[in-house]
Amino acid sequence: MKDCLSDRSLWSVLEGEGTERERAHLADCQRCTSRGQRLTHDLSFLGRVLSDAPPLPVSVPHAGWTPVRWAAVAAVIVMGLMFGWMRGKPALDRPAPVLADMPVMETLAGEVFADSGFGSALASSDATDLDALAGVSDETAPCEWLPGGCDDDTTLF
Amino acid sequence: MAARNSYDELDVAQRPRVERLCRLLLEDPAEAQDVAQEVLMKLFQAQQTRPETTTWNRWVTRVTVNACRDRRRSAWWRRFRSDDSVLREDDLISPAAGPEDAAIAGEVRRRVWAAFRGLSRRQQEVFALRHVEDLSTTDVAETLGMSEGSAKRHLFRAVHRLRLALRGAS
Repeated sequence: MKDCLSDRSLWSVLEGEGTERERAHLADCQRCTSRGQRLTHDLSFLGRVLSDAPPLPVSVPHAGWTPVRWAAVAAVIVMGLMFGWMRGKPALDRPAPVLADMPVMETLAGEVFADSGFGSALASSDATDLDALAGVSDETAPCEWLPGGCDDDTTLF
Repeated sequence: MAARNSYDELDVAQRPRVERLCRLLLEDPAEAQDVAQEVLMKLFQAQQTRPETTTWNRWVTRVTVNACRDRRRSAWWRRFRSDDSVLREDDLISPAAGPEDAAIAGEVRRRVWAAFRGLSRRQQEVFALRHVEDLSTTDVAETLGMSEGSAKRHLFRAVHRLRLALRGAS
């Protein structure tokens, strides 16, 4: 039966199409007639199954899964917000913290630099770091730092 | 279908068909009922504004298919939000069947439905309209806005895969 219709041709003929030769073959060939009947029966059965008895999905709440799902979403949102906040404030643009605004640091600086004179300079005012350094080291500053410069030529070499 | 004055009349006449099509094209039966309700409301409004129209069956089919497509497009969010669901095989078995028949029928139906759900959306639509709604291939193509050749290709592939499922092949 090498001349039997292919599945596609058989289906086409049953759909009312196909060539004259294919229709003639279907009428003559016992095997193709039988295949055609089976195809028609299958299509009818498939149509009935799909129209009569659709399966009903049952809602099965997964008590453990739903909160985890939402917790994951919340975590992602929080991380996104934090990331956005941190990126929105670049480190270089941030104002330097003033010691006077940080009592703990102020106390700590006073303790650590008590002997050197830095502590009192830092703790006594809200001056900047450079001002504090200049205040402490005025008397011992090299002549190159002073406004008049070095008068003595020998200091150059 | 003649224009109807009463929504109740329309509901009785059209709901089974619209719901059946929605159930085929949407996996969630509650969602299918929801969309069917939307379609019936649209049909009622359309009939009030265009009572002279006589080709409502085709209109209903097209509007139903489009409503189901819209619903599927926005389904990812609801799928995430909703609880998971599983098929209950008891629902596939006719209550009149004996235990053995019921088991076999249930198994076959489960395979057919699983295979149908495994088809592409286009294949599902084409098969549903052709072999459940009994439209001609030409009408199927026109309703879905595709060429007749394309509709036939989708239909043949759908038929092939569903028959394999029917025979128990994977």
